[in-house]
Amino acid sequence: MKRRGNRIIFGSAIGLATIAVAIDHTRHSLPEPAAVVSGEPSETTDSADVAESPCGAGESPCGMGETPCGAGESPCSL
Amino acid sequence: MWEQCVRRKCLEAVLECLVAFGDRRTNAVLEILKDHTLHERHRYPPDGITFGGGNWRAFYHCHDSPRGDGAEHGHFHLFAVLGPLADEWTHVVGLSIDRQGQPVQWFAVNRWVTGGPWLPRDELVPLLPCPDFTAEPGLVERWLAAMVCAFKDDIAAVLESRDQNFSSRLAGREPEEVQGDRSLYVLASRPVDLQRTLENVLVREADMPDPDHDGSWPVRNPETDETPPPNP
Repeated sequence: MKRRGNRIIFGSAIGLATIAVAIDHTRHSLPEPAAVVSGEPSETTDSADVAESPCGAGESPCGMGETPCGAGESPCSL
Repeated sequence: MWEQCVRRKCLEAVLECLVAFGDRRTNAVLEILKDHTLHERHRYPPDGITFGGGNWRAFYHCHDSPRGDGAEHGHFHLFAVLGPLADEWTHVVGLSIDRQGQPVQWFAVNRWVTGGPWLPRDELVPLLPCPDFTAEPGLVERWLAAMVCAFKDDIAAVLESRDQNFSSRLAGREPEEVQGDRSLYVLASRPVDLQRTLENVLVREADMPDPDHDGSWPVRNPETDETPPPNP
């Protein structure tokens, strides 16, 4: 009966409205990436690498490596 | 029916997380970025997120998408641990996030993108977690765990498409060559409609009888009378 009571809460319009409001309240504009200032350490690949692949030649851009986007590593690796 | 019950529980946990995010006027990505300045290709948080009883890790980042998908802000990469020593991780799936912080797509990438071991779909799917969400250390961890559990079937479908796409490109090539082919980035994807999924399962399917479930969690399998451990 307890579970049926829980089900009633999700019964109809209340459930739909709850879901819609819950999602809407999480819609927030995400920040754009900050510009990399010249001379600052950057983990982005250089232009030559970018020309070869979107995430750097010789790298795995989205792996789990110790250092993201470092030369010879996987930028998307752990 | 049991699987449906598990999925419903996962989606209820997702909804609870959304309400909690909303109360804080945030979302999963903003929560991760709150102590950082966002730079392309940097990982957030820097040490990654651990969830699923320590068997899963994830991070968020953004960079130009080779798919030219202007709707994406960034994406999570989700990795599962391999072996008892937890010294090797395999990429399982990515979750694309739009500029409003909403999940829009599961996707699977070629091996060169993430590095690490390459496992076929049949070996990855058993790793998908359905943990005890109350054990997750934080809201983002709980949300990620619940999302992976709730969309387990979609993730499995993405991995199957990935394998099919990969196999179709072998055509006399060695697998390692295809895995390193930088012209192949995203191998499969599947859209996420979170609102519709929540509505369909939590509201429209809510009247379906489930006499074997007493509302407890983790969910007891009525056929075996076993309660599965938090993680496979």
